[in-house]
Amino acid sequence: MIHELILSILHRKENKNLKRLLISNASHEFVHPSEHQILKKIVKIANNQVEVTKFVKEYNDAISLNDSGVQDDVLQKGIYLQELSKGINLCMTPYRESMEEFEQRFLNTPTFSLILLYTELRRFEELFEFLLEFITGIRTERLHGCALLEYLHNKSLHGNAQICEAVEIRIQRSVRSIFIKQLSEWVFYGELDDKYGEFFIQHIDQRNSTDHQTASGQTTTTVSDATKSVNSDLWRYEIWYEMLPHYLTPTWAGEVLFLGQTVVMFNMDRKEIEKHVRQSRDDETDDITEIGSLWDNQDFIQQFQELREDSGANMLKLVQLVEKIKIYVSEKLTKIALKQVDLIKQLKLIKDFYMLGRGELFLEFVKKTQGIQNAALDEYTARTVSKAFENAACSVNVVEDLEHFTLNMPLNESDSMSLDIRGIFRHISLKYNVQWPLHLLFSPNVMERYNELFRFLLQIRRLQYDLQTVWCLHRERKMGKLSPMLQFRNQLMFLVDNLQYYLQVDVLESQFSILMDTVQKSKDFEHIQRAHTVFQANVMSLCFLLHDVDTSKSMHQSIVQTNENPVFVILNQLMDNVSLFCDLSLKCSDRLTKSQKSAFSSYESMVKDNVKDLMQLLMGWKAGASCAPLNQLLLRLDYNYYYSSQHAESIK
Amino acid sequence: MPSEIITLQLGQCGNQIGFEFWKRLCLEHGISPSGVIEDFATDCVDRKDVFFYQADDDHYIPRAVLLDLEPRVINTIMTSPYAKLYNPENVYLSKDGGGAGNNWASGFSQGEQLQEDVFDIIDREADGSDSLEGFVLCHSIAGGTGSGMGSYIMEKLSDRFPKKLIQTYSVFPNQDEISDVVVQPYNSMLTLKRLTSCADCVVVLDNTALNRIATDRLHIENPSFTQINSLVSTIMSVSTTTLRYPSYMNNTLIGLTAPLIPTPQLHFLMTGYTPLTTDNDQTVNIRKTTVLDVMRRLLQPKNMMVSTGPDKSNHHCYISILNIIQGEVDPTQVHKSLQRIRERKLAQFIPWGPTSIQVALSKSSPYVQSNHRVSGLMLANHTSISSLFKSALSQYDKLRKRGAFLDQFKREEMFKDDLSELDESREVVDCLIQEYEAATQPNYLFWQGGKNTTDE
Repeated sequence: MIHELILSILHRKENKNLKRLLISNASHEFVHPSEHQILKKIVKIANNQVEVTKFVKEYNDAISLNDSGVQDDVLQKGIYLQELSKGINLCMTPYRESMEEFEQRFLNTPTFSLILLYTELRRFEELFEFLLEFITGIRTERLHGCALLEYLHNKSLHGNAQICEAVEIRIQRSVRSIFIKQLSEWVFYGELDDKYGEFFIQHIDQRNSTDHQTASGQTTTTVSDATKSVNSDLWRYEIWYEMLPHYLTPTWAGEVLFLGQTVVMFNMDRKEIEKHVRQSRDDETDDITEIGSLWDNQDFIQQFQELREDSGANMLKLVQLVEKIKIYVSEKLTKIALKQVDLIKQLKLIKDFYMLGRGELFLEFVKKTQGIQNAALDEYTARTVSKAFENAACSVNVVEDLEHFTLNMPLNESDSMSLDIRGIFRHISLKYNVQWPLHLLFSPNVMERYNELFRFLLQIRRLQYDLQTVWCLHRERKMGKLSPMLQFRNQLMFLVDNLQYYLQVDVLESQFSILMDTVQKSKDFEHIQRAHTVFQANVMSLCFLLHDVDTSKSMHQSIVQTNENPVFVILNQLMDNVSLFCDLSLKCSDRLTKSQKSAFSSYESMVKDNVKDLMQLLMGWKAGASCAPLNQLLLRLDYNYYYSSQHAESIK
Repeated sequence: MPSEIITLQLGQCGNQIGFEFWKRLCLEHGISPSGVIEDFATDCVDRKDVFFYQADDDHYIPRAVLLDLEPRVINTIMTSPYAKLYNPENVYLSKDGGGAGNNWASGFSQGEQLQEDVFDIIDREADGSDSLEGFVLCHSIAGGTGSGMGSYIMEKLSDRFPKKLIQTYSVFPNQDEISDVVVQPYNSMLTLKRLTSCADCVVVLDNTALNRIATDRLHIENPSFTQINSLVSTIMSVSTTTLRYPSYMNNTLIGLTAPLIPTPQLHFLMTGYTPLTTDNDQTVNIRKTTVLDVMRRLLQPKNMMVSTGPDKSNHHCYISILNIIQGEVDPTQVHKSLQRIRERKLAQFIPWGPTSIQVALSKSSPYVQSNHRVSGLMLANHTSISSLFKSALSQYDKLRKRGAFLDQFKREEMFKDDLSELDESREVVDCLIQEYEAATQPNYLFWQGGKNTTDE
């Protein structure tokens, strides 16, 4: 009977026998009542073992069993789980061995009692209990992929040396090894060998698909597919924070993402690189080796391999290694960026164009497009606009820089869309030919935000020009200072000018100088990247252009964020009123007609309201110290306390 | 080639300061005295074509017209290394070469006689530019040619080119020394009338203040013309720097002047510059130069190029200010400086409208070595400039009461019958003074005193 018991324990499957043993009379007949409790305990241990084994079996060959629709399949399949079960299986080996040995002993000496078996089994009791609990935990938390790492880490510290060893060496090692494998593939080749969406870096499209159709494993993402479009693909990768074990910091994850992206970028533009190498051959021969490949003479891959094999290695080493690689890569990138494409010059170009640093160019552009501001949004206008831009560039001699930029007017939704008072500048966009390897800095999203800024600044610039035209007209007509038109014009001019000074000096120049400082000091490309992101975010928020809540969490926490932007709303109204006024002024003759008069006074009162709202808002913010930068605008607009004293009067 | 500007230099003083101005521009743009671009300056990002144009052989030629009634100064220019710079067709000397004898009336009438020749040149220059923005006139208001002929040309220009701006750099006479030009008060009054009615923007260069600065601040005992003129050329070149280099704002003359001049009559601008040093003292500059320092010093009367006398009633105020700051500036400091100046009430502003200190950060030429980290120019519209007109008026009144030296004027056609032109001019200047006074008051916008403001 004991042998029978051993057999059934050994051949995991027949758990029915075990149960039957307990229920059937056999236990009463063959087992002494005093041994009955022992039998119960043995059965319990055996049951636990069976549960664990079941789990192992279920997930061990998960990949082959794939879509067979196994019972209540709560867990997504994946290689991590597979490795995990392999690890668990490994933990079971000593148990199996000892059982077989025990059977042998039993066959030799059939007089062994039940208690001996129990003693033998008891060595594994805690392990099984732990494993069972462990498995249940995975099931209830529905852990998947990298997240298992964290779970494992949490469980790895256990007072029981046996359990500790089992978790730390057997299970954790196998799971980690797969993690390190994925990591190294990502870091070195920019490839995500991740059919089940388990890595903490995900391709966005891939991620969505894995989210919905649980681990169908049909699509594989390899970077080579996407070679066609550098820009778009580079930015499809993002960090999936839920997957990231908590002992790996988000910053670190960001570094990993950066490394992979760098490699992706390097791989994508092989031709570009070769071109660059060829170019550089003339000036500096040293650079050829530097750029030829990213990993020359570095044994990082070797080091990764060692880490994989070294079971005792803790994650700290991995983190350090990745950091080492990151420093290497980013210094190299910085070198390339500064030497090859002159990052500083590129940034200045961005400032000159997107932030209207070349004021004279855009003034000329505004002048040249004045005639078609109210034209229909069609292809003809689009062509005229880009032509006007080129002409403007020619006339102020910036033709060389122009090769980096093209201005166009995407005609997307409806071609017959009518233009409002704000003119065509709302619909144009400036395209910048990103120089390799600056794709890492200027992602499509980044460029779109620059465009938003560009359109905003250009509209202000246009208003300024309109007001100056009105100024010239008033001058020509020798309009006296008593004229309300002239007085109103002065106020608007003041507002628009100072708004522009605020934007250009207090925001753009200031933030840009901070950025340039960082770029010049920093050797680390990732710092540059971060400084650039912070720069853009600050600029957008200080220009009141951040009006949407950014739902996707970014890795840079130091960004100023504003959700709603009432200032922007008011500024827009103000700008509309200014252009209405300019229209009226340019159309009307010396004496206003009745309708013109009423239009004029309505603009006057609207602007007055706008200014009042703005002052109220800015002063309100002044009280709350959080929005200190907005004081800068207030300081400029209310430098001689004109508006605040008026405001105070209106309250009285 | 957008927004071109044609410079007219008239008379002895006008040609001298104009000459210094062009020398300075050549230096800043890396153009050799013969108009050839220097090797080191070929890839510079600047806008030479606002003030220069290129001849067929790629020489850079100033858009300048040199006019004088006597040959002395122009001959000096034409024998200097810069002789080849100018287009010889643009140098006009009256044939008789007798000058205007420091007589406004003579200059004015000679201007009238020579107008065809003069305007041939001007028209040709104007036709040669794509979108001419305006004229810059360099002259003095006290002499004969610059004031008289200058007045005539100004009137004619505003007539012929009503859409073009007229900016002048007008040198006011030194009141600390006794002038050898006895009719100077008459000349000044008559020129001031044209500056008030025809010019859009007058940058006042007050010889009194310039000399005072040279002696007191630069420690030159007897400042020479050259030394004074180098001050002037600095002011002129810096005040045009946003037009000549890429910058985010103030790219045109209109963009530069329109915000400074809210009401048409009050268009006389003062200038201030810091740090003030001469070429030969390189060592004195030990003060630190931050944006705040520069902006604060610009607001000090001793750095102003206009002597306004003490403001006893302390009621004068700034109508507008534009600071052009060059050098290695930390833009983040600008806001702090503005704030500090406001806190400490370093500047008093008009009560009748919004105004502020506009700060333009500008590039400076890479070819001119400066031993100052930061330098600044202030263009300010300040009501106390009226005191300058007041003293001109009182000098005029003294002379006019005695009826002194009127014979020279009566010899000319314009004053043959009566001296009403003089009285009218006095009236205009008096109105101007009143308007500046009114501008210190909160109800200025409803002030109706200036009767000549509306109907001219």
